[in-house]
Amino acid sequence: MRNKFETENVVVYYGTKIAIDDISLNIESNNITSLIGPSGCGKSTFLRCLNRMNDTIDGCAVSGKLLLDNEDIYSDNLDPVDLRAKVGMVFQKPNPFPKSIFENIAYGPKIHGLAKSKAELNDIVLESLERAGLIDEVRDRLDDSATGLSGGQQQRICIARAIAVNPEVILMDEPCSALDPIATAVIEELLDQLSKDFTIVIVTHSMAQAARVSNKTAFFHLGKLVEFGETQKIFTNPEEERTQNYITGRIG
Amino acid sequence: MNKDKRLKKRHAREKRLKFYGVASICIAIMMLITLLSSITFNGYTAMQQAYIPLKIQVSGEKLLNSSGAVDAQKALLFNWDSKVKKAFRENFPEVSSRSDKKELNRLISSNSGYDVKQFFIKNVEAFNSETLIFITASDDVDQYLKGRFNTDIPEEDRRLTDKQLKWIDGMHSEGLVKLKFNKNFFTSADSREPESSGILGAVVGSALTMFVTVLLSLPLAVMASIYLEYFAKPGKLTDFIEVNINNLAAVPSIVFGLLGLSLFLSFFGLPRSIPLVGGMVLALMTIPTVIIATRASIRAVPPSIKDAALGLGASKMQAALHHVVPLAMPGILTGTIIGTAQALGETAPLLMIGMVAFIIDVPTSFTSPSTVLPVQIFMWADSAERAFYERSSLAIMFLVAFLILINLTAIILRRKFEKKW
Amino acid sequence: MEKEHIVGAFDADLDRIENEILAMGKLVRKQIRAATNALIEVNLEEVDSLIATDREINGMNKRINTLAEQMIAMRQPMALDLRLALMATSIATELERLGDHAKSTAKRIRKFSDVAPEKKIMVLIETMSELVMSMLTDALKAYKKKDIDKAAEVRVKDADVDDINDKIYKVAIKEIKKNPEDIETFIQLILLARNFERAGDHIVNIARQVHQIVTGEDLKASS
Repeated sequence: MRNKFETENVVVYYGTKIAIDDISLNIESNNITSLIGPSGCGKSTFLRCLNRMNDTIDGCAVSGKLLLDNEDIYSDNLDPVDLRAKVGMVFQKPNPFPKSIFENIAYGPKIHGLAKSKAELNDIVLESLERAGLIDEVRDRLDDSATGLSGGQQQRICIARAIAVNPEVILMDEPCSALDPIATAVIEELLDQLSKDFTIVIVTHSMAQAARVSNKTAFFHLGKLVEFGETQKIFTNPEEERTQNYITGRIG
Repeated sequence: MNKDKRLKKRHAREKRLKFYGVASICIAIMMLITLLSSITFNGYTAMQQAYIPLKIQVSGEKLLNSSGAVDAQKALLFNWDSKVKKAFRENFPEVSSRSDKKELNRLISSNSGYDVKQFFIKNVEAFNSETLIFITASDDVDQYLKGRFNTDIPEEDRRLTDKQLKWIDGMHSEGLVKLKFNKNFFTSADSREPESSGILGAVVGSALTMFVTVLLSLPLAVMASIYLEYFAKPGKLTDFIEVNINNLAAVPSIVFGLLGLSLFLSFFGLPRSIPLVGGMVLALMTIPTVIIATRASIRAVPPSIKDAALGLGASKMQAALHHVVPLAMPGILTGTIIGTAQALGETAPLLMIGMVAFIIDVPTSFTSPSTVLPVQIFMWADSAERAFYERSSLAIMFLVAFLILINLTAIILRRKFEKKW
Repeated sequence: MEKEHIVGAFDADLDRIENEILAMGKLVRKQIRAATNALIEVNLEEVDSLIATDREINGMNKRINTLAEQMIAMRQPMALDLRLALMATSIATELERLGDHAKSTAKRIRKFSDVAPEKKIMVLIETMSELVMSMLTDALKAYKKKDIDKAAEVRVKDADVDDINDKIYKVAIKEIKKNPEDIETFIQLILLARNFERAGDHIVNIARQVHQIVTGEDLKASS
């Protein structure tokens, strides 16, 4: 399997504090990779490196090699705006724009000029909603405000919104932590479908979720990558004692 | 029981606090009522004006040109004043002596001839027939009829003699002078005579000036705020800029007037007393206020919205303009309107750039000489005639009503733009 | 020894399962000793109490299964903890089978009351019984300490048990050929020896399960 992302010796500083210390991790294409670890271990920071969202944080310094399809994403020739069209992101708290459902999904394609006509834009919106498994629920109220939907639906709007710009990768930062178990299950099923077309990297606090959804799991601890391997192995018989302590809830 | 005592004390303290709050509000309301009632008391009579109905006939053959309109040159030469005075004196056939005639003439406004001319220019069909025209009485008559004329002082010190007073009383009882709605107040600009003066000029001047102010201050302030929030690198320079902006909001307004005087008038050589320059000076004054309000509103927008836009590949500017600013609009508009309302009532800086001139024409463009409402009020309140005093009170009421209207607009606009996120 | 769980109740649940298994193992060993003694003394009265005790052992098996099932449902154990829960049921099953062996040994005593026990072979059977009991002790120790070396010792001892089984078989066949009229006695002895040999195999399974708990490796699959 091809590597979508190749990272080597990635180090991230927030001011003088080190957040990520020498991470080398490869993300496979059309796979779901989960990043687990206790709070403050650097998993979210690493995720945000992959679409250069760390650029928006003052005092953040990123070093090391980060390649997307063999291209350095931190090179000066690469515009973060283009990168983020290729690498989409869904956040922890569902954050649809306070506009209509249609406008939410249409925003991305509009600013990237992906639709040449109104009809084409309409098609993109409907297709994204379908791929996000939401079309049946909102088909006849596309002009309603997106903020009037339930939490789970709002998060799927955010997923549809990310899909609409036709990315290659979708990054998810604890996407289900604000949702109830049913909404969570709906999204987990959705991830399974989406992984056929996209590469997905998901940060999660729930080990059960990581075990359920991902193909590969990376365990972060205190800014370092402790173990990375097949999800099945990590959760039945991990190599590292630290990993075992974390997943079984032992004081490490 | 200690607990009960403590609970009682807490309740008592709460009651006291509530009382203080209510008392403060009551005091404030009482002061407001006092202010408004004193202004209203002084100004409500200005809503009316003494008019004298006269029947006047003018033959048109000497004044009309071939197309049926009044020839301007001929109208200028025609003696309208004598026509009016003659018509007026027909009500007093017994008055014969020259001095008496002079005194009688003083009962009608010295502008009445001009007013009649304007009437006939507008209504050419009124020529050649006896037309009823209401001419304005003089301001002394007007004040006397409104009961504001002090008759206790000796005759030599008064503006109206006893004879004049007798004539006025007679006219009033016969219906030859009436208090009617003061149309002039709302349709004319300033004038030397109080009875012909109005606030239209000042209102239009204020409106034009405000327009320039908002047009300049709003976009500049929003852009500056976006820069400071999203693009400025944190550091000494940015801190320095921020401190200065905050301080600018507290600078006395007359300083901005001085700046306008030296920069716009002396250096750039712009004409004085025009809405364009007035608007520019007031914009300088309003921008810091709007920046502070805009920045607070932008900061109140949850960063998750900005992150969502950036995550989709929007540039910082796109994220700011498409999402953050529209959500911050209620706060921005409120700030703008408050700043504008404040500027609307400013007199000092505009005095510095010369908007104290006596302007008798209603301004027609951004570069016509004009004055603004607060300055107009200031000038009227300063003048000798009593009639100007009541008019300035009415103008104050007008200004207050206008400010209330602006604030209501602010509330309505804010409610309209408020979106839940 | 494993580090403690952050949630103390989790450790308490694991301890409860462990203690049940150790208690069950102790009871099974007592059962084997009682059965062997009863066999040697041909004590018929003991048989009924042995059968009653076997019911208690079955009850313990059920309890351990329930505890393990509850732990899996409530605690969603992963890795080591999951293996502890799953292997607990396997080990309990093996112990229950051991108990059955003791019971069938006891039942065979009834048959012996008619025949004369053969001294030579009875000594060997006693040895087998001692070996089996020591294997069980080792296996339970290995389980408690999660010691895979101790578990390995069990397999070594099982070889000896198998040897004695073969020996008894050969002796019995010889005697049957010499005295064919005593064939019933010797068949019973052969069957008895096989009981103990099977018991040994069960304990070897327990040792394998202990190994799997610690390393995750299933020795049966690889060997």
